[in-house]
Amino acid sequence: MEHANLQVVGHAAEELGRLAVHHVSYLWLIPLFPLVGAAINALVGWKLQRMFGKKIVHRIAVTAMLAAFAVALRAFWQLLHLPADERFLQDTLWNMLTAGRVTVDLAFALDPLSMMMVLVVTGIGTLIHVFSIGYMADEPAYWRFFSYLNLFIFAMLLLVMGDNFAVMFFGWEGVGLASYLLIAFWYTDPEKAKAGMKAFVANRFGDFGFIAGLLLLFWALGGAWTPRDGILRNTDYQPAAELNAVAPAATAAEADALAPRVDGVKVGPTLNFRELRDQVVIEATGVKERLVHTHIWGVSILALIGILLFVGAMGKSAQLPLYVWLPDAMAGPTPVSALIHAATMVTAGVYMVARLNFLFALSPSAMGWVALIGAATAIFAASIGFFQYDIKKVLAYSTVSQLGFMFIGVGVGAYWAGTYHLLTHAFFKATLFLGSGSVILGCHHEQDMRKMGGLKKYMPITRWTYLFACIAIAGFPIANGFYSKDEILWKAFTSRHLELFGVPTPWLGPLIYAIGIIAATGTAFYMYRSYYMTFTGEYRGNSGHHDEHNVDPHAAVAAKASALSHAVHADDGAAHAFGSDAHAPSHGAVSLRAADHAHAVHATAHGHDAGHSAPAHDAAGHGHHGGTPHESPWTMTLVLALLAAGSFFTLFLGIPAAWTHTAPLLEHWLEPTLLAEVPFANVEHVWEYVFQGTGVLAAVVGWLGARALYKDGISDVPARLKARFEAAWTVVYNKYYVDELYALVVLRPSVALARALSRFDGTVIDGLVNFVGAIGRTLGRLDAAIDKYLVDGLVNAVAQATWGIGRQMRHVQTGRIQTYLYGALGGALVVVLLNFLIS
Amino acid sequence: MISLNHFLVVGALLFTLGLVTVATRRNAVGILMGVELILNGANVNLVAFNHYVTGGVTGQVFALFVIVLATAEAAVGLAIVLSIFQTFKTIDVRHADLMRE
Repeated sequence: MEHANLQVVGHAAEELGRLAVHHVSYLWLIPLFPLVGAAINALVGWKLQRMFGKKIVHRIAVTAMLAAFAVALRAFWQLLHLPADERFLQDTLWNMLTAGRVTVDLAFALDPLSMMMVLVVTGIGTLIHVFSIGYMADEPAYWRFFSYLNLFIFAMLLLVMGDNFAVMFFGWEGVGLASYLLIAFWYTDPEKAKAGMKAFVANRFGDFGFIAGLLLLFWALGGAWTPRDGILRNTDYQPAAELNAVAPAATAAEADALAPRVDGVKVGPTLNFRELRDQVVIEATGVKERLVHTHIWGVSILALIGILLFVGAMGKSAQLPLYVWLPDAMAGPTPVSALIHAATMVTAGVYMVARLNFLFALSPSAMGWVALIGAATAIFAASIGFFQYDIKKVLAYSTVSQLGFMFIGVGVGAYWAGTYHLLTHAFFKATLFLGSGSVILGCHHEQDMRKMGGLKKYMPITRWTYLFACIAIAGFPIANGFYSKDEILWKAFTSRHLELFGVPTPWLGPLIYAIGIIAATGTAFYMYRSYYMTFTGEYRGNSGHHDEHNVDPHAAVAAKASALSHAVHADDGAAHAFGSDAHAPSHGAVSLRAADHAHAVHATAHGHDAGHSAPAHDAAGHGHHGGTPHESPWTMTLVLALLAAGSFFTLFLGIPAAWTHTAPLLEHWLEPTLLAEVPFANVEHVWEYVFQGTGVLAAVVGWLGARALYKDGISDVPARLKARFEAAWTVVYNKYYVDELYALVVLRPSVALARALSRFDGTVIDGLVNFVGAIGRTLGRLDAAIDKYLVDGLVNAVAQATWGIGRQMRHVQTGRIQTYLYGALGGALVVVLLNFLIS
Repeated sequence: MISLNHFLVVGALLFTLGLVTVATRRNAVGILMGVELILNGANVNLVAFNHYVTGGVTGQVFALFVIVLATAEAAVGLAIVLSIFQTFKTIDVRHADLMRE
């Protein structure tokens, strides 16, 4: 660490230059492959699946992923061979929008940071795709699942590879969409559909903060909504006058020519990361000075920008208080939980803060908040994780907690450490999630750890990989988690520059360290608790809970149902109760809630088989229900082994400088991107060993605690403790009633507001509309009367008259020839008489 | 001495008798006969005026034309009557009133 300190000391003299850019033309291929895979499976996947079976579907998806990963490796190779300060690949496809001097290109960029993210996303993404082949084998909508997975990877790649905020934001929203689609994948179950909506809505709150921060940043850089002067203008800032010059620009080149420059550096409002970095980092432009001294309503604008952008990160990365969606997101299929909610998407917020490190570093207040929220989330989520019984819920809260650690890292200014934790977490949490997926599949879609136990006998590979990931997350030095967590906590302890509300708070760093070390102990405890409950002791899956099932006809028909056709199934109302439980992994009554649901359906299921859309799965599901647990297919165990190996090998990226006296590999690699200068206290070298020792001690304490209480499931201490502290246990088990609090604080008022508005709408607005309608109706009636009696009367009178005359006249036409002759004679007589009279 | 007036009176009588016949007879053949009387009344006038007033043969030629015309008219008229009989089984013109109203 002295190394880093020395660097900071020597940094002031060092002047950063403009970023060298290498233009390449193949980066667009990386997101293209998953997009094509998603499109093929979305458009014709169902047909392919019916014609050629499920194999073709996952082959398309996995091939797309492998292709993307291959191109990413090619880019990595190229980056490796460039000088460290020139590692920036850029690929502009086309200009999307030009307005004034603002240009938005569809462009991709790879610098060391996004390169790392792309490798994680495509690499771990590929593994999770492979895992899904086994996990989703019974799923009828197989093609839909793989299409969504590919779509998610596409959006995630846009997010991390975007050269500007617009492309990043597109990916940002895209992963939100894909996450919604995947959480609510089994949409026939209202609970799961609701979880999807919850994730989507909670993320919208964050996105609001993100976009507000973005617009504020744009404004602070000199953008203006209207071209007027006098607001936020700093007179010593030379290009200020030119900033709002309104001139037409139709192309990117014209817009570029229009931009004011200082020493050749483009300044002014921009959405491009590289331009932003150049003008903020290069002191001569004066942009940094201007930003630091700009205040709005007495608040530093940088702090405001940082906090608003962090609100966006809170939503995406599940920090307090917007974390609530992530535990519920476990309703989705387990590979999704691994891919989206552990390895990639939730790290988007951390990535964003790291990407904008030069901006956050300028505002100690923003950094203080980021670190504090991160620490609070880490301890809060860890404590909830203590008492959950659903294995996926434990992992979900663990993810929230680990994300808190990452934010501590990027918050205190240890950007590379936060990013490193992101990387290590991607490996070990993907291992844990996929391991839990393997367990869930092995236990016939059972997620409750109380119904597991003793699985090490049945699932050796899953057990060992899960255990290794536990070692990693708990923080033993033989796996990667120790190195990233230790670095974060060490940096937190030595940070003295954080501020809150603009007030320097040098005590905040040590406080965060203390919270972090407690959270780390908790992490070790609840992870080992989940390990011991799941893999040691006796298998509890065949007792208790399953007895309730033996009394219903379901179990009795299970064996033959697998052999019988769908038609026979349909006659068997009992089997259908589970069919309407929507081909879920909770099939077979996972939790008590699901069991109740199934029973409730039982009561009414006879006679109607509504919602039964998955006969194939149903039959397959029944086939292996209620047996002993079994190890998962080789595709799944292979992935687990690879990820566990990754959890080991990535430790070499972060060997502390204290041991080797050179910067860790990853820090060195990320240096060109994470260039913010953050001062850390100069603490004696030996202290770092002490802190590493403390970290290991925390892990050991957590591990031994869990071992004593939960190993083999023989200790009755947990039950006695639970009985002793029933009230506290209930509060924590119910997640501190945060969901209920949300319901009270957010949901109830908004529903009340909606009701009030509805009433306003129903009475005032509808009243007005109805009043206008009534006037119109009256006028219409009047008009109709006029039409009916006056106009129609006239017309009818004419018709009547004609008709009457015709009626009378027809009597003349007798049909007798002599009558006509009389007429003719009469006429002739008249003519003769007239002739006489006139002449 | 028989003057022009005598011929004119005979012509007028013939015309009037024919007219009355046409107007009153129910029998279609009778009506046709009435028409002959009218035409011949006119013929008398034509010949008389030719003799007493103009001289030459113009009036007499015209009378010959009228006779030819009357013949043709009788032929057509009798054919119609025959058709009426076939349709109505009677030649009473009062019954041939399908076209009324």
